[in-house]
Amino acid sequence: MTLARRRALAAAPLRVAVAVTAALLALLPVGYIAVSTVLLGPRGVVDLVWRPRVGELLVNTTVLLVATASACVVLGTATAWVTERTDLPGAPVWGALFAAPLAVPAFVNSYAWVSVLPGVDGFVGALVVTTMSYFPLVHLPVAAVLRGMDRDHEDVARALGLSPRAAAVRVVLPALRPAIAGGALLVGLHLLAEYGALALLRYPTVTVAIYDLFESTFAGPAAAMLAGVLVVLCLVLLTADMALVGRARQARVGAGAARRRARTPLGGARLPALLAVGLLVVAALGVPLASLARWLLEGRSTTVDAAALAVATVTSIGLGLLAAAVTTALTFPVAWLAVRRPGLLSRVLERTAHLGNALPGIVVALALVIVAIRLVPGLYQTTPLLITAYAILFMPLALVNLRAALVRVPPELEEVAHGLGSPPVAVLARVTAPLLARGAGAAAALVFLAVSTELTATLLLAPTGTSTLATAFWGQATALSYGAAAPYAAMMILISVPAAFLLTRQVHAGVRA
Amino acid sequence: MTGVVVEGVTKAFGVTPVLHGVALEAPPGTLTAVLGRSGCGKTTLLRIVAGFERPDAGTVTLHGRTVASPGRDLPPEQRGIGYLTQEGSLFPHLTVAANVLFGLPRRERRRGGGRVAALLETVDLAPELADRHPHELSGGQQQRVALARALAPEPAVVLLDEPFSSLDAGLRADTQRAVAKALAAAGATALLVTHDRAEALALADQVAVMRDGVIAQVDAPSAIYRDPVDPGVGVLVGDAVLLDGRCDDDGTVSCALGVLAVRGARHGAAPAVRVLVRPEQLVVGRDCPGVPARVRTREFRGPDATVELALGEGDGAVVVAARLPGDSEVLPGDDVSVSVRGAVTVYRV
Repeated sequence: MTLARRRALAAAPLRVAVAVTAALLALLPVGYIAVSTVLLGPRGVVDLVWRPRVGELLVNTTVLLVATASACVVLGTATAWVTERTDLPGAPVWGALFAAPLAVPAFVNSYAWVSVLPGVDGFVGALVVTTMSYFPLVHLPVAAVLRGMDRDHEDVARALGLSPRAAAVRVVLPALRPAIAGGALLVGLHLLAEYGALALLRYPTVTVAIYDLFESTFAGPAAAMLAGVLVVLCLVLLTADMALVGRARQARVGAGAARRRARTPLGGARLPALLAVGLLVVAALGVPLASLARWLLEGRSTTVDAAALAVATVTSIGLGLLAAAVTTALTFPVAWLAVRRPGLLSRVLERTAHLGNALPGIVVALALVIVAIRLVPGLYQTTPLLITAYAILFMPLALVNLRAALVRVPPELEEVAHGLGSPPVAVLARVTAPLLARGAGAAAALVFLAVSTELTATLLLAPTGTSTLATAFWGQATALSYGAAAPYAAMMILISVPAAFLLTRQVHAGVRA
Repeated sequence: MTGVVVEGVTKAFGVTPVLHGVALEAPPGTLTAVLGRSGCGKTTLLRIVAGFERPDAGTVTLHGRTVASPGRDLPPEQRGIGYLTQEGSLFPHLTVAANVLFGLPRRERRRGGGRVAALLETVDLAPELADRHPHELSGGQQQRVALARALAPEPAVVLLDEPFSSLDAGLRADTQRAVAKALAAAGATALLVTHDRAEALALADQVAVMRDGVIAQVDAPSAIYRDPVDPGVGVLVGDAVLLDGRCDDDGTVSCALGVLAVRGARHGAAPAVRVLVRPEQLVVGRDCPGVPARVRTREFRGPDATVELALGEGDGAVVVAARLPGDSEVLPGDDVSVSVRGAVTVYRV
């Protein structure tokens, strides 16, 4: 560490302190696994991990991970290209529709497909459901980069003799690589953490198996060891992402007037393209909505408890807003250090903060249960503990967005503000924050979306008597009361719509800015 | 064989007309500067020649090959052009070497080592830069690499879109010199779009002044400076003193600076004309013939100085600016006499 850098870190003690706190929280579940491992000893670990059943689970998980991530990269990139770069009629509307599946939780999507096509289960079912749920995670960042890109690069490539297709492959695609890799990483992390959707489809992954073990043995060592296997998978993903993105610097060299350019005419491909995006929207949105509508209509015969629905709605919204604010505030220093003070410490903090999303909610929840019972009994089954679990789980969502936004803010602007006499806090408030508002808004909205549909950690940590829309839905769905479950799912989607809408608006505001 | 020929090109963006029948001819192997204020349509013209925009009417011919005309629009990659943007637009994910070799066929890219060094040398860059990434270069270096990249496929036509405007003054002069040298060595026909008149006059073989979507005048730099077609063009290509005057039929003009010789053919008698004098034509001294004047301000710039002179007294005084050698000992408040060296240009009102 150079002297200058050490001084720069010393100049931001609050940011470093918050970032370290965030990383320590993220380490809690891993610490729980580590302690379990030590208590078990090497012999016990090998006995629990080196079994054919674990091998089967690993193969299941890896195959689904690779298939889903590939499908999401193809669909997410293709849809981003079509909506941002071609003259597809109604492109902004399609763009909004491709972000919308984020508002349908994977376990609701899963319930919808199962009730439409009862034969859909196993690998194919899991692939279809997870891809339809997760491809927006690639679509959104790729669309944002396509929109903000310096199109002079493409002009230069064309002038150098490249066809539009070759220019796309050799210039645009490399510029998209960090966004695609980041999106694929999110898809992978979501998939590793998914429980509800895969449990309904009867496709056993490592995470599903952990939940079943906890059901039977509470916080037993076998589950802790399987969680350890999952942590290793997460680390493999993070390493692969690092290798893919590498040292690619995507900040613009220079800052000329970015011209608005003509969209590529689709010509004869227009009708097939419309058909394809239409089909995709039917599969990703039409199926869950139609299925929900059907159960809502059939559920009229059964009594719907309006009061319980209202209480669950208010609880979900309140928890979502609180968690979004806490998580974004906690994550910002981590992103800031990673982008502005790159170094060993920043890298370690950033990688650590990413851990949360790869751990199944139940592992985070159980780690918190045990820590609370052993160290701070008063915290057990309280809202702060639940919010802590959400923060640990969804820090990566906020981090990816904040980091991407920070990379695009030239550090010179902050230096100019410092030069004008503003102390660090004022620079943060007057320069960095306004420039980052869009990225931070996206980060908070994603956390809200995730929290309002979080299932497993909430099942375990919610204060007694508190039920959210997700836990109420799950209770009815697993009891096969599909009709009674539907209003909760519908409400869950309804409260997600404003945040999802905000997300697409922010992406689209990029054109006008 | 002709170089770049543009004929009757018009272009509107939506309802906003940008170009109204532009005609321009750039002889092969020369550098033509298109000079104009921002918003005059010069960049649009360049992008039409490059093929990034399509003209609404008119034709573009590059070395005898029609690339744009009604019913024909060759894509940019088939036009054999080099294109240099304001900021160079180096690909941030590639090294300098990979950037320079970008436009070459795959086979040539693979054994490109010596080629890179040679190309970097044409733009006065050290071969050691080849492994760097764009963000590790200065603005001037980036611009030179961008030129090396544009010249690598040996284009017959090179199009430059204000390539020096984002560089600071010291870097700019060096970069301009290197670019002009490399362009001349490559023998390409170059079209340079700029709003900097000094740059246009210094680098170009011919200057085309563009105004409100049409070319107002095309001529050699010295000719367009000396003999602009109207006062507007005169002001665009250099500082000018503009005065009211009266032409006599002996080929002279009377104005606040006295009776002056008129350049070119006799205009005949005219009661009201505009007279264009360049500031460096004014000769200021204490004991010499000329019109009496009083020095109002003096702006010293080292090699030269600009002084503001009041001709006549009180409110009716005409104020003109003169450029004098830096060592002239003329101070504000001095009474001097002013005469004009050489002939002046007049315009009928």
